[in-house]
Amino acid sequence: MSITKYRTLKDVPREEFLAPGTSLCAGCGALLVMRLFHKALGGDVVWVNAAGCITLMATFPYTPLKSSWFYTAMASAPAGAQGIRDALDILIRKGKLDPSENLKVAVVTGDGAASDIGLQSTSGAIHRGLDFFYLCVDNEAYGNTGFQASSLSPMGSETATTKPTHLFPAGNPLPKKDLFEIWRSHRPPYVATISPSHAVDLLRKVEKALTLKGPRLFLALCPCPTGWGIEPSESVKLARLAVETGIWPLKEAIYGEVSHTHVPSKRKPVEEYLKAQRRFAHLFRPVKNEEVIAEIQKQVDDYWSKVER
Amino acid sequence: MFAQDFAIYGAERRGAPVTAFVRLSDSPILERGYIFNPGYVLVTEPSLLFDPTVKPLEGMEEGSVLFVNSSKEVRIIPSRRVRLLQRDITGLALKHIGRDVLSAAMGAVACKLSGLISIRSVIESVEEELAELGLEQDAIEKNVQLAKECYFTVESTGLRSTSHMPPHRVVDVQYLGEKGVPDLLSTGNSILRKTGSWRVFTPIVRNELCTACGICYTSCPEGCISLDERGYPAIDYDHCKGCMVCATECPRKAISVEREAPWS
Amino acid sequence: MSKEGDKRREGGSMVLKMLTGSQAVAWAARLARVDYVPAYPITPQTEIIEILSDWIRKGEMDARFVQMESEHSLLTAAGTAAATGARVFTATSSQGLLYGFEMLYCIAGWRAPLVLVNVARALAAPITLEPDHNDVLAARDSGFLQFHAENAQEALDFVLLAYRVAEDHRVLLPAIVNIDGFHLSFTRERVELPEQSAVDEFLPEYVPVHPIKASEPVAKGIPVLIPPLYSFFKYQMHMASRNALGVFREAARAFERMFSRAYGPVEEYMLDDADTVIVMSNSFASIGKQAVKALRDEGNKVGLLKIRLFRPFPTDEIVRALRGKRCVVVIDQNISVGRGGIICPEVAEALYHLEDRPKVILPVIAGLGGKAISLEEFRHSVRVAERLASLRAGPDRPLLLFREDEEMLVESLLKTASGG
Repeated sequence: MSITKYRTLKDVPREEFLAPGTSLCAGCGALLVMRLFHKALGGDVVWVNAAGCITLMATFPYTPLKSSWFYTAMASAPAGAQGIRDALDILIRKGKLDPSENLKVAVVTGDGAASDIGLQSTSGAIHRGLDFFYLCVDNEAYGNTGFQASSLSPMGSETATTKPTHLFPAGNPLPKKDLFEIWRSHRPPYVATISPSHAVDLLRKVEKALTLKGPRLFLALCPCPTGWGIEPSESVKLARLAVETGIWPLKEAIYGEVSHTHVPSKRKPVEEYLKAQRRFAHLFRPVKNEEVIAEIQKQVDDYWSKVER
Repeated sequence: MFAQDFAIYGAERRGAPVTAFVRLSDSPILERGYIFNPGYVLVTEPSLLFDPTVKPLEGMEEGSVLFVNSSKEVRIIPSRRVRLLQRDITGLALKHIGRDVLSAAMGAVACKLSGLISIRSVIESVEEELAELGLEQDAIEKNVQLAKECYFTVESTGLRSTSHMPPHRVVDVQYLGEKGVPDLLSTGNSILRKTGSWRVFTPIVRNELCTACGICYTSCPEGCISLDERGYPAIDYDHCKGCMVCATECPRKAISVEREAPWS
Repeated sequence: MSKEGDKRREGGSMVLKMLTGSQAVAWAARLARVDYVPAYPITPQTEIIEILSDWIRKGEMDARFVQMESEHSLLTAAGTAAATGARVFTATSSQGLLYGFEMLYCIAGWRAPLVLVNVARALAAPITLEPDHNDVLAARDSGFLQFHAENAQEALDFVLLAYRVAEDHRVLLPAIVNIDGFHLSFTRERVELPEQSAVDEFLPEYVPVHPIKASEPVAKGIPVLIPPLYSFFKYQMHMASRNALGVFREAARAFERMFSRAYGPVEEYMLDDADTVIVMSNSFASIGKQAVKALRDEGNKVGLLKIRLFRPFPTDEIVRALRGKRCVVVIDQNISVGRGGIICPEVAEALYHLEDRPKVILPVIAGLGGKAISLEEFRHSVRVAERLASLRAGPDRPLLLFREDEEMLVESLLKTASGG
C-alpha cells in the first residue's frame, strides 16, 4: 500500500475501545489482538461473537466494550452478522433508521468456532459477499473449555484431548487446517494473517481492509499462557517467535492474490519456538523426538521454499 | 470421616480469584453447593477482602477463623468476632518453588487449621494430586516442602461448625416488562472490576531508563498503560493484572518487576 | 363464514381468493410489510419462501430475502435482525426446525420478536413428509409463542396476530405459527385476503427495544454467570408469555373489529350440551368437527375443543370449556415415546384441581406421520372414554389409533420388505 497512517509504533492510535477489567487471563494474546484491531477499526462497530474465551469479555452486568456486542451461538456468529448487516441496510434504505446510525459489523470467534463448528456459517457468509469483518483469535485449541484440540491445533502439540502418552508420544497427530487457504478459496476481497507482536503490520492490514467492501477476514495467532504453558509475560514474545521461525507467516490475499507482508530474512529454527512452550515439552523430554521436530521444521521450510521461489 | 470439595469455574481465567469449598464431617454430608456460613475462610490475596464482587467475609459467624495470605499486616474489622490469622504464604512459595503457586500451600494451611488432618495425609495428597496433574518429581518435591512449612507455620484451631443457609423471605418475582430484558446498556463498565487484585508482581516504570518508545503501551493486553503527552507510560494499577508483558517487551529493561503493590 | 360483502367493515373491502396454506402465510408476511426474510428450503415449507423470493425479486414486496446455508444460520440471522430492529419473517419444517433448535431458545432469550411459520412434518427416523406435531411441540418450552392454525384463513390471520402480540412491549417474545404440511400447506381453500390499509392499521410499525445502532451501544446475548440472574431472566420470559394471553385477547378484539373474524385462544365447537369433548389442534381439527357432526347425528352429545394458542397455554379457557363435562378425549397428533401424547397431560393438569373435573380424560394418539383419522376411530375413542366413565375407571395407557385395514397393509409391506 502506498499511503498508510501507520509507519511506526508511534502511530498506534491512542483511543482505547476496550476498558480494562475483563476476566480474561493475564497475558491473553487474544485480548491484545482485539485491542489493537479495534484501534484500527475505529468506533461504530457491532461485534458478533461465538462461544469462546472472548465471550467472557462481557459477562452480565459488565462489558469492556464501548461499542455494541452480540453473543450468538458457537456455530453461527457469521449468520448473526448477516442478520444485523441486512437489518441495518434495509432499515436505512426504508428510512426507518438514520444513516448516521450505521455500524461496521465484525465477527470475533476463537479457532474452534472458526475452523470446526462455524466453518459452514463462515463459508455461507463469504459466499454471499456479506459486508463484514471476521477476526479469528487463534490460540490453537478450545481454550474456553480447558484447551481441547481444535482443527487449528498444530501437529505435535499437547492439548487436553491429545495428551502425549507412550501410545501417542507426539501429542496431536493431526496437522493444523489451513484456514487462510479455506477462506481464500472463496475469493473474498481480503484475507490476512496477523500477530500481536507485529502491531504496525496488523494496523495496516485493518486499514487496507477498511477501504474494501465485502468479507474481510483476519486470522490472528494469539498466544495463550494457560494453554500453551508459557509465562503470561512471554505471550508477545512467543507470537514474535512464531513469525521469526516462519511458523506464522504474515500475509494477505486481496481477491485471492497472496502476498507476504513480512518475510523473515533468516528464519530461526522452529525448535526455539517449540521448546519455549509446555505444550511441546514432550517433544524434548524425557527423550528428544527428533522425527516430529524435523517434520515440523520441514513443513515450515517447504512452505517458505514455495514463497521464496 | 467424610469430605466434600468443589470449586467454582466461572468466567474467570488464569490469575483471577477463584473460590473453592471444602466440607468435613463425621457423618455423611447432605449439603451441596456454596457454603454460606463458613467456619474457616482462607483468603489467598488480601486485596480480595475489600473486593465487593468477592466478599469473602460474608456469612462468617462468631468464632469462625479467617486466614489471610499477606506479607503485610492486615487491618480489617470484621463485623463479628472472627479470629484473624495471617502468614506470608506467597513468600514461602517463592522461597520453595520460585513462583506464586499457592494451592498445595493453602491446602496444607487449611488441613492444619482444621486440626483433623495429619501432616502425613497432607504430604500423600500433595504427591498424589500433583502427580495426577503431570508435574515432574522435583516440582512435586518442592510443593511437598512448601506444604510442610505451611503446615507447621500455623496452629490448629479445633473449631467445629455447621454451615447452614441464612434465613431469607421467599418473594413473588415482579414482571418488569421491557426492563426485564437481559441487554446491557452500560459501556466500558468493566472498569468497575478492579483486576489489580489478580496481580502478584507489579511492573514499575523506571523513568530514568525509559525512552518513551511506546512498546509497552502497544503490547499491554489490558490497555492498562497510557502515554502522557511526551510519550512516557503510566500504569493503571487498579486494573493491571501483572502479566508483565510490558517488562518483557521493554527494549531498555526500564520496567522492573516488584513484589509489592505500590497502591496498597 | 359470513357471505362476502354482506357487511360494511372497518377494514374496508377485501378480496376472496383460493389460496393454499403456504400462499396464505406468504400473503400475511407481505401484508405485514416484513423487512427481512432469511430462508432455507425444506419440504413441505419451500413453497412459502419461493413465493416470497419471487415477490421480493419482482419488487412487489419491499424486503430483503437471503438464502442461508442452514436452518441454524437462518434462525441466527432472523434473531439478530429482529434484535437490530427489522420485522422478520421466516419458515421451516420438521428436521429444519430441529437443526436450528438451539437458536429457538436463544431468540426467545434475546426477547427478539419475529414470526416463524412451521409447516408441520413428522420427524425422522423413519423419515417421512406428512405431518404430525412432534416438530412444533419440541419447541414448546423454548419461549416462542405458538399459534396452531386449522385452515388457510387462520394461517393468514394468525401471522398478523402473532406479529401484533410478539412485538408488544408487554410481551417481546418470538412466535411460531404452525400449519400442517400438505393437509393445510398445499391445500387450496377460500381465504379472505385483507386490504393492505386495514392491515397497516391493525399492525403498527415494529418498535424494537434496545435496537443495535451507533448512537446507543448495547450488549446482547451476554452470559449471566450468577445463578439468581439466570432464574430471574427465565421467570421474566415466563411472565411475558403469560402476559401474552391478555395481549392476545386485546389484539383479537381489535382484529375482530377490523376484519369481522373472532378468535379466542381456543375454539369451542358444539360444546354447550356436550357430555364428551374431543380436544384437538391444527388442521385435523376439521376432520374432528366432521366426526362430531356425524356422532351427533347418531345421538351422541359430543363436542370439540380446538386449541389455537398453545403457548402461552390458555388454562382459563380450557377450564371454562371442559369443567363439568363427563369425558374428555385428547387427541394428540404426536408421541412422547415412552409416555404418550404431549398435550393430554397439560389438559389434565389444568383440570385436576376442579371439583367438577371430567370423570375421564382419555389420552389418544392419532394421525402420526399424516395417518388419516377415520370416523370409526373417533367413534371408538369416544366409546372407550364413555365406557371408562360408566365403569368409574381411568385409562391405563394411551389409546393408539390404528385400523385393521391399515394393519393388513403394513403386514403386506413388511412381507415385501423382508423379501417374503
